[in-house]
Amino acid sequence: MAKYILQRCLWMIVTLLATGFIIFTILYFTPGDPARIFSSSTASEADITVLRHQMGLDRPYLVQLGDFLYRAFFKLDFGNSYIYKVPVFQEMANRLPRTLAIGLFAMVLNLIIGLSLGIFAGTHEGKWQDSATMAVAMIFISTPDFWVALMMIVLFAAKLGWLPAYGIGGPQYYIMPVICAALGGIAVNARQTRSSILGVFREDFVTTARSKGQAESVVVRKHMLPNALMPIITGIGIGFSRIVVGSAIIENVFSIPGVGLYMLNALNSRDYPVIRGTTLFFAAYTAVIMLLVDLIYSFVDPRIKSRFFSRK
Amino acid sequence: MIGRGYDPGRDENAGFLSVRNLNVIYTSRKKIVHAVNGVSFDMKKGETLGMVGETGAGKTTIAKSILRILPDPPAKVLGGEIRLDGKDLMTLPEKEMLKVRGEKVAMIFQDPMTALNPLMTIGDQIIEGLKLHNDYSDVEAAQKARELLEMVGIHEERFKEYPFEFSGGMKQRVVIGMALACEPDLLLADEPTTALDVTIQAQVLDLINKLKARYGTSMILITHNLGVVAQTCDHVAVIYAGKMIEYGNKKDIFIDYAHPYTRGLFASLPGFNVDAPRLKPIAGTMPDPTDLPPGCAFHPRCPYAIEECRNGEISLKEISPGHYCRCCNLQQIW
Amino acid sequence: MTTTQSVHTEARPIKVAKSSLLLETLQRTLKSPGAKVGTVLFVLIVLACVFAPLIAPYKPNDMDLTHMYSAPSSLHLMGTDGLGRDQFSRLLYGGRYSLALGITASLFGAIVGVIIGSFAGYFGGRTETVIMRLMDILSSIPGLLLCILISAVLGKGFFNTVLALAIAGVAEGARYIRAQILKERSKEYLEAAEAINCSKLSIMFRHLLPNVVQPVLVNVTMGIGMVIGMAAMLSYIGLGVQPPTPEWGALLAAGRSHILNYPYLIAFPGLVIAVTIFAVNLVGDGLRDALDPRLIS
Repeated sequence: MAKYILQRCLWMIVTLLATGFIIFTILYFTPGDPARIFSSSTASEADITVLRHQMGLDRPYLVQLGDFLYRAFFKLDFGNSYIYKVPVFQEMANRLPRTLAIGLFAMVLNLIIGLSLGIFAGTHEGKWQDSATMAVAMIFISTPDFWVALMMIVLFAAKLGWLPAYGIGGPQYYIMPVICAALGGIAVNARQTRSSILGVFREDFVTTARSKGQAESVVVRKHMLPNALMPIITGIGIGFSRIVVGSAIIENVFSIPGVGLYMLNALNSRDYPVIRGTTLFFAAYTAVIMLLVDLIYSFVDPRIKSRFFSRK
Repeated sequence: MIGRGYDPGRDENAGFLSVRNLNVIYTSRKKIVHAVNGVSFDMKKGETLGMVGETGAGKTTIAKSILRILPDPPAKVLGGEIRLDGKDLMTLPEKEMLKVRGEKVAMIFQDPMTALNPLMTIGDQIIEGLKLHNDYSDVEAAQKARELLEMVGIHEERFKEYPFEFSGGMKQRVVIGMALACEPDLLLADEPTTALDVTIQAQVLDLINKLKARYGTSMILITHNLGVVAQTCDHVAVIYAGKMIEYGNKKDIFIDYAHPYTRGLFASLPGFNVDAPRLKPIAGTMPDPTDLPPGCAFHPRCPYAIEECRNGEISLKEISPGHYCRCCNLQQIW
Repeated sequence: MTTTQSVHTEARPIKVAKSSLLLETLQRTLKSPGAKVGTVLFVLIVLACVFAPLIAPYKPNDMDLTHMYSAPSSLHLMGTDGLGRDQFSRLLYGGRYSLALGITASLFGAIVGVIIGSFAGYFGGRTETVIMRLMDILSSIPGLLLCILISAVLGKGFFNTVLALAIAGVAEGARYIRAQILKERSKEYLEAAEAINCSKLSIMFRHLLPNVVQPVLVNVTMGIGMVIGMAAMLSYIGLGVQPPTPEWGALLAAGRSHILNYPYLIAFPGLVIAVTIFAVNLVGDGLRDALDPRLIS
């Protein structure tokens, strides 16, 4: 088991390195010279050259790449923001709690509501409860998260005045963001759970269990649910990664100063160090979640477990 | 005797299992599938009844009805009586039925690959059945389970392994072991060898016969393979489009077959000593169960069909002691 | 459907042309009520946008300076923006951009993905490993993130956005196709084709692909919806297509600073986007159900 975990962690690090490489390279070859952009309009060519040297932008590509990767992965140093001159890592650390708060609460909501709705719909297959739930889920999947957020602001903040429209402060500032971030994922989860449950219903081994004289409730608990769990876990994983990046947009809509907003602003203003740092952060965030999902998967499925457990 | 006006009290041969007028439908998207249309038969204790017919004839539905494990919806039992040792299973409360399943009646399913829960060890799955019907402690149940494994020819060390570690034939043995764990009075075997290759088929049949002899279990063997029937069954019921169209003992069916359909079944088997350029199938296909033809369901394909075949219910007639046939034109044919 | 009386029918050669399979699939899809609704909706929307010049009461850039920021009325069905431009008309014309975006990017991503994935899946060995590792790395960057990055790099504008979204879709498509191919690869008809000496390329295009392509249809369909949604998101955060192009996402971006005062500027474009994606998803769902062999009676 430990071997499997190690293997996956190693692969995750490789992937992140590759991600860093891709991001760095994309930004490197983007038209636009940061030194020029961040010099004042009255600067002379000589000044710009000096600035470029200061920023380390005149070194060869590979040197810059290596330097970036080395500093990022070994020292967690992403440089300083071109605009604000503060260390990127520092700023990310400051903003992290807010992003994580939205993300984690949204994931919990996703799990609880998504699973329950899915089980509810699945156990009432064909009846109105099923169709209604799935129709609603479909509507939420189709509707862009940020638009729902905007409409909720209009309704709850502007018209009703119950909740604040933007910013941070106490828990009430997080209510709408968390709900909006969770909505799409809940819908996906509900649909996936429902189809897994239905799939399991028809499985032969469920009939076998019944033919042994097992009571229905026990059949559901011992036979159906564990087998339905696996595709559900996959669905949850996908939902979670949607929440991770979606929260960046939510932060934009609600003006919450988290890591996501930091990234989006940097993208617009070409603040390369920030872009690199935040993008890597999101990639890592997603990768960790995927890793956890994989691990849970391997615990549940004996076919995978047996490959890494030593028997006898 | 089977047919109309049957009174169980009157005949001392009346079975330990007695099915009367079983009617089952499936509803799917506004269409009604008539799966079983008035099937009746009897079985004696210790006997093996072969149920023969094409895929979709309704054989599995009959078996699942006995156990009452048909999914409702879409299946619906419209009527009928199934008496086991005198008790009508159709009217038993579910709580009582739980005691019947596994303990009095057990079933072996067609596809061993999917019949076992992939996430439970086979040991646990056998123990589940054992503990449901017996007062074993954990240790006792585990011991009994191991014995069962040995009895079906699987090393008891494999007790803790998962289904994916077994081949199809071995999985089927496990399923058989599970079914016989509580020594049921009646075993329903639904095409137990269809999904296996021929050599394994022989082994599994052997095993079933051995266990049957040892426990004195009665068995309904569902199959479309006449060879298997010949090897293991005492009586045979031929099912077509949800009705039983012929019934008799092995000799009646294999040698003195009467119904044109049964005739067609045997005629389609190629003989060993005859050079045949083409196989002789029965022309046409089974009727659409949502739209059965009037009268005899076989008449559209029957080379001996007459006007009377189209009209109303054709009843089951006894053409020789213990041999029944549902055909109105038998004089003409023979 | 009554059973046939005649017994000895001549065996008719069955033509299993690709087109008849497609038609059959389409027919089956349209049986589900959801897909029917979705198709009707989608067709209506497409028609409305295509015939925008005939339906729209105003030109998209016509400014009615006497009615700036006016709420929905009989004069302007969906209100006007800060320059007095009729929102309803802008939505209709903008739909052409959004729908074109959706369909093009989705198709392009799928086609390229299919090609890459086919090469990987069919040839196997080192080619496969290299390609799939590349795809794995590409897809380890969360899709949305990748979209945002590429869009930021390529810049704003319609064509850049199409490109960005298509590239993001390629990795997804390649993975999916490769999984499908793995499933099909072990089937015997491929061995049979090789046995009669078909070239590898010909096997791939004439035998393998037609059988694998159907589920891709589902992805392409739902992809249209996803692309339109992502394009809207990109526009909103300042990338993608920007005003004054009346693309739906751009309309959202234009209205964002006024949501508290003039919510209709955001409400209508968003609603139209949601309905379009909803319609497309319904069709995609129906398509998926139609292709599921377990549900075929």
